[in-house]
Amino acid sequence: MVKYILKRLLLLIPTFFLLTLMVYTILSLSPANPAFMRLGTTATQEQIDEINHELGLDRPLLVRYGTYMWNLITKGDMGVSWVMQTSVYKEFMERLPNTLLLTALALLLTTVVGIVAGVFAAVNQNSIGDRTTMILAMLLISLPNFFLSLICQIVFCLQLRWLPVTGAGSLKHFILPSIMLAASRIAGQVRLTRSSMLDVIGQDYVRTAYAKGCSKRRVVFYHALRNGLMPVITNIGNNVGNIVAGAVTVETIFAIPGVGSMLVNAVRSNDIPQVMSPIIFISLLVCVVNLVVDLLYAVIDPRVKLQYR
Amino acid sequence: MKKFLALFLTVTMLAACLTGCGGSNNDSGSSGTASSENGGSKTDDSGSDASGAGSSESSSANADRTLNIGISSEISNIVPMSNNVAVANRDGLIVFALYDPLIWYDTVTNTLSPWIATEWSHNDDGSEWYFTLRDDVYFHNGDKMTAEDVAWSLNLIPENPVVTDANIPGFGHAEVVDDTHITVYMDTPFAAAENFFASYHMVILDKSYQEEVGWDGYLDHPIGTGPYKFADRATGSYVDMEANELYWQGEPDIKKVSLRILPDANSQLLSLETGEVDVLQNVSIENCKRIEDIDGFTVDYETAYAVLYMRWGSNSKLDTDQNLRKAIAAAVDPDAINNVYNRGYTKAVGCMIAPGIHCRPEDGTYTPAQPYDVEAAKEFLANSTYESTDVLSILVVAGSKEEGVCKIIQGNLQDIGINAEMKAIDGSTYSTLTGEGDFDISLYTTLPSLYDCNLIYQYYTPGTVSFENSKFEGKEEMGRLALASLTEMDEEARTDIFRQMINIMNEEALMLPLYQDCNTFCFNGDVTNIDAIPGTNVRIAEWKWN
Repeated sequence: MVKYILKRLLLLIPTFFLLTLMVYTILSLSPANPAFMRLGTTATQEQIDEINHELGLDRPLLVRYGTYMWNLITKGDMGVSWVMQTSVYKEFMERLPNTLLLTALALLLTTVVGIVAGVFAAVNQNSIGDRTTMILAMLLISLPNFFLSLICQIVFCLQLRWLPVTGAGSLKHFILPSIMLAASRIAGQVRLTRSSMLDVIGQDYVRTAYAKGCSKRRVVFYHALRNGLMPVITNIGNNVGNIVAGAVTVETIFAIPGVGSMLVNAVRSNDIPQVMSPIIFISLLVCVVNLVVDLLYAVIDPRVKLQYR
Repeated sequence: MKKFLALFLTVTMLAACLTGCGGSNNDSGSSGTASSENGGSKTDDSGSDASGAGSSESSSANADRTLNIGISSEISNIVPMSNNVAVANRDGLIVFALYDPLIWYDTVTNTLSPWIATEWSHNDDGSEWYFTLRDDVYFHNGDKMTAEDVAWSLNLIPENPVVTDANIPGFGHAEVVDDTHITVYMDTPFAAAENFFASYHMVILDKSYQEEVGWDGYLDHPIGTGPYKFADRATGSYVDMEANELYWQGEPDIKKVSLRILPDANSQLLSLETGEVDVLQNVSIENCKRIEDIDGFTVDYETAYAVLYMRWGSNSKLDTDQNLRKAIAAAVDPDAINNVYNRGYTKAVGCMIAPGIHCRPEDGTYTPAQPYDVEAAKEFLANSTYESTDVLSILVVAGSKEEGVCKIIQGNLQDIGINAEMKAIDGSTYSTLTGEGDFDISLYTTLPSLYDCNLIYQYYTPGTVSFENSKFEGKEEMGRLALASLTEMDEEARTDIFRQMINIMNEEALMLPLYQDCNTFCFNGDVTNIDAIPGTNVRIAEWKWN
C-alpha cells in the first residue's frame, strides 16, 4: 500500500511539470506584451525593451519557465505580478482560504446530497419520490450557473433577505455561492448514484441477503451501498476539478475574493506569475484528491486492497 | 399519478416564472427616482426609504455607520509613485480620499485652486516652479507634513518612468527652500506641469514612514494626508477607511467608508437594493435606468471628459488610405449611438478632446470631424483601395461598453458595403495590438488624466512605437506640433498648436470621435450631497448622511 502511494506521489512530479510547462507555454504564445499594458500609447521601443528585460521576456521560453519553477520550488517564490508589481504569494495566500472554504462546502454538499438523494431514488425506483428527484436533477443540470445564481440572489437575498448578495465576511456569505457551485454537480451525482445503486440492487447477492432475512436498511446501506459507491467515488474526484473550475464564475458573481477570480483577472492581463499560482494550486489539488480517491477504493473494496500487496 | 405529476410541474413552472418576472424591483408603480442631466438633480418624493435598507436611521445612529461604495474592479495602485505602476482613472475615488495633491483641479469649473500648496508660480520659461505650502497638514500617523516630504514625493517622479514619461516629461528635481517653500526644477519646460501637480499621479507621501517600513510596508498600510485614513484591505474584496480627525479641512461627515469590489453588474444592483452598498459608481446606462425605476434611489448623471473614439492601425491600409478613413468616418452615425444605444446620455463631440479641457480650442474654431453622410461615404469608398473581399477588424476590449457600440458601427459600415468583424479581446492583448498598430480599427474610451490636451501629444509623440510605425500624410507635421505643444508656456499659443493638430486629425480623419461618455452615481436615500462630476476627482469627504 505504501509502495503504491509512493508510486502515485512520484507520478505527480512529471504530471505537475508537464502541466505547468504547458500552461506557461500557452500563455507565452499570446500576442499580449505586458510592457504595452504598463506603458500605454507613449511606449517607445527602448522602454518596451527595458521592461521586457526587467520581466525576463527577452530570454528563451524554457529558461524563463525553468527560472520560475526553480524559484518556486527552492524559495517558495511565486514572483511579482507583471501588472500590479505586487507579491503574487501574498495575494494568493490572502485569497486561498476563501476558495478552499467555498469548494469544500460545495464538495460536501455535492457528495452528501448527491449520494443520499441517489440512494433514495434507487431504492424507491419509479415512485413519486424517484421521479421528483430525477426532475429536479434534470432542472439543476439544465439551468446555467449564472442564471440560477441570479434567480436565487433575487429570491433569497432581495425578496426574503435571508442571505447577503455579495462578499466573504462570514460563513453566511458562502451558503448561496456553495449551493450554486454544487447545484449541477449534485444533479450529476444523484443520477450516477441512482444508476449505480440500481445495478447493484439487481444483483443476486442482494436478493440472497433479503432471502436470508436482512432488513432493508442493512441490505441497502451495508451490502448494496458499498459496492454501488465505487463509480460514485470516482465521480467525486472528477467533481473536485469541476468545482474548482466553476468557482471562477461563482466567485465573480458573488464578489468573493478567491483564487478563481484571481486567475480570471490574471489571464485577462496575461500576467504569467499571477496565472501560474492558481493553476499550480488547482492542478495539485486535483492530483491529490484523485490519489485520495484511489486510496478510498481500497478502503471500500477489499479486492482492490489485495491488488496493492 | 399522472394528474399529480402534471399539477406538480405546473406549480413548479408557475413559481419559477413568477420569481423570474418579479425581478428585483420593489417599486410600487411610481417612479420617485432622481434623474438628472449635466449636474442637475431631482429629489425623491418618497423620502429616504431604500427598500428596507434601514434608511430611516437618524444621523446620530449614522455616526458609526459605514458608507459602502460599490466599485467594479480592483484598485490598480493604492500608493501612487510607489512602484512604477500608473494609477487608473477609476482610482480617483480612493486616491483623493487617502491623499492630497499639491493643487486641486475642479473638473466642474475647470479651475485650479490652492490645496496643499497655497500659492504657486513659475518663471518665464517654465523651467522652475515655486510652491508655498500649508503649515497645518498632518499625515494619518500624526506626523506633521513638511516641505521635505513634498520634495521627496516629487523626487519619486524619475523613479517611476512608466507613470511620468507621458505625464510630466522634462521633470528635473525638487528642492526644499525652507519649511514652507519648495522649488521644482524642470530639465525642459512642460506646459501642463501645473495640471500634473493637481493629478492623482502626484500626491504627498510620508518620507519618514516610507523609510521606516519600506514600500512593501507602505503598500500594506498606506499613509497620506487625505480626509480618510486607511483601515483595512482584502485584495479583490474591499478597502476600509476611517475619517481623519486631523484633516486640515476638518473631519469629514461620514466617519467610516468601505470600498467594495463587485465585478458582476447584476450583483451590484442587488447589493444596492438590499442596502449592502449605499453608492455605486459608473454603472451602465441600462442599469442606471433600472435603478431609477425603484423607489428610494437616486441616479446622478454627468457628461464626462472621457471620449470614445475610433482610431486606425498603423499597419493597416487605413493608415495610408485617406479615402477609406473618410468613408468610414462618414458612414458611422453618431446619433444612432448617442440617442438610441446610449439613450441620449452621451454627447456628440467634435474632436477627441472634450470641451472644457485645458488648451482645447472652442468648437467652431477648428475643422469639424467628417459628418455622417452615407452618400459621401459611398463616394469616398469608391475612390479608396477597399475591395469587396476585404474584411476590416474592429478591436474592442471584451466585456467593455465598446462592444455594444461596435455592433452599431458594424451595421453602419455594412450599409456602405464594408465588411467588418469585431474582435473582442483581453485588455493586455488590446494594449499590445494597438501599441504595435496590428489592427484596422479600434474603439477606446480615454480620459486625459491631466485634464489637458497633452493627450493629443501622447498619441503623436515622435519616438513612440505607434507613431514611428505610422505612415499617414502629415505625420511629420503632427510630430513637430506635438513637440511644440510640450514647451509652449503661453496658453493661447498652445491652444493654437492643438487647434492645428485637431484640424489635421479631422481633415485627414486620423481619428473619429464618437461621444463624450457619461459618469454616474447611483445611491440610496441615506446619503446626500453626491454629485457625478465630469472627471475622476471625486471627494467622498464632501458626502453626508441624510
